[in-house]
Amino acid sequence: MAQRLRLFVKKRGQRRTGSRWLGTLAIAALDISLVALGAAGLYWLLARVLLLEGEPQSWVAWSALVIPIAPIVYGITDLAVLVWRNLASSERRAAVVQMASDWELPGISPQPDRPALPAVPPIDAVVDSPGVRLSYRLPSDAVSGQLSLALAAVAVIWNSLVAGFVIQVVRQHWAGQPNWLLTWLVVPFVFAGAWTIYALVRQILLTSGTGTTLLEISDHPLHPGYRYEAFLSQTGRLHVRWFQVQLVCEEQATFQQGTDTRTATAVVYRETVFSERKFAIPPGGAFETHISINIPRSAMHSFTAPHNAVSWMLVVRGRMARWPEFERRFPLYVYPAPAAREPAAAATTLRTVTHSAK
Amino acid sequence: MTTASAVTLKLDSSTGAFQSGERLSGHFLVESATPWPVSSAELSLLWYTAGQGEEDFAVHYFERFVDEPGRPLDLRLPHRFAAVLPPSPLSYEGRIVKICWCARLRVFPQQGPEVVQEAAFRLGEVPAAPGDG
Repeated sequence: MAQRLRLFVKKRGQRRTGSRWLGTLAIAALDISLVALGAAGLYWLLARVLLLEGEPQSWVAWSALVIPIAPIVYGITDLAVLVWRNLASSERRAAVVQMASDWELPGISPQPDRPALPAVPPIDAVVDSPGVRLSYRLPSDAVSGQLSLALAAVAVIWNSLVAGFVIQVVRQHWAGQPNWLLTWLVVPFVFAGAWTIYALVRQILLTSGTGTTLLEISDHPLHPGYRYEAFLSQTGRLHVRWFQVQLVCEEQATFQQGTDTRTATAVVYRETVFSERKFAIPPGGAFETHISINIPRSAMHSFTAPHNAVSWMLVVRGRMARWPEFERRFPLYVYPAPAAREPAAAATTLRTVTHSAK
Repeated sequence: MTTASAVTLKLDSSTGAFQSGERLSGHFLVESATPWPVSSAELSLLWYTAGQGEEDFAVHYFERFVDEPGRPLDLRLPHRFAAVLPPSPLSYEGRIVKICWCARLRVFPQQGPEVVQEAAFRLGEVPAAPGDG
């Protein structure tokens, strides 16, 4: 059935609502136009300005050549990519990219003691940080820090803009010429600004007030069917209502919807490996405990690709007296169970052979 | 005229289940009484994702067969292929992320649209993720 061209509907993913060839032709026409425009501009700049007899030009004038050269380079590059994309199959293109990424750059050699598996995230983030009680200290994901930074940026930008309007309104009232329309229009913006400051202060207090959570683990990477030891330390002068550590496996799928990029998540495994209620952490002290973590035999290994991922993590959750609930995530890397065969035999290099039939 | 149904792509294993490091082998051919003029054929072993996210895929093994003057590519003769399977990613049927492995044959005829045949297989034995609730 012929697809209808829908202009005002957010398109999901990479699928097309129009003709493939029409789109390709439009891109080619745009690229050719860019090259033609750049060439015309280059000719005009050289013939009419830079190479005029008796008028030597400064380097500043010559640097203006960048302006017509940029669309020429962009147009030719995009045209070459378009031709390659249409002449070569997706598998052939992927094979070429794979071969290129397999090249070892001088000075950058892979560390032999660290496993590198296709589509499995590297463990460098964990093994580069040794622990005190156990082998490795787990890094916390930086969500709370990033949230504080984003809130701070929003609060500063928003309130700077609103402050300009507020000053204007106050001046008008001070001069006895109030603009009541502007005054009432500014009020909701002031409230919104106050909310950004409240949210920022709350986030900072939450991050700093609930103390530091430290997690260490006995080994890395983890493998399905194996048991590992973890060490947890929670500092802060806190009265803890409840405190949990959970082993979680989460799927993440990123997709385009129109111009938006969205990420869907689904938790496929959740096990509470530690739970405690109503205890106090003394000033200057820390709550410390050892935890046993069992990765299920049937577990899927950690997986990462540009739009899809399977992630394992330890999630520390809790509720302190006078504080809202908090959650901190510590990524773990689960690798496939060691193969019975020699790993070197399994690590096949990509073979791209072009030959004719005999 | 040869069609997609005449193109055969078969794995030697009857179960279609493999372990990491295992050798996968198979063959492909075109069942036709007369030669089918093709410009090239590409055989790949690859994984791709399905589910809610955009598709990701990577090629593990790729072989290209080209028709050359004086040495025509006759796909009526069986063409064998074999590769050692990698340690990852393992086949997986999650809730919103699925990882599928397949052997894919893409035939580019001298006339007409390209023909694609796939033979799916499983790598590893990770069970499907439990459903909601």
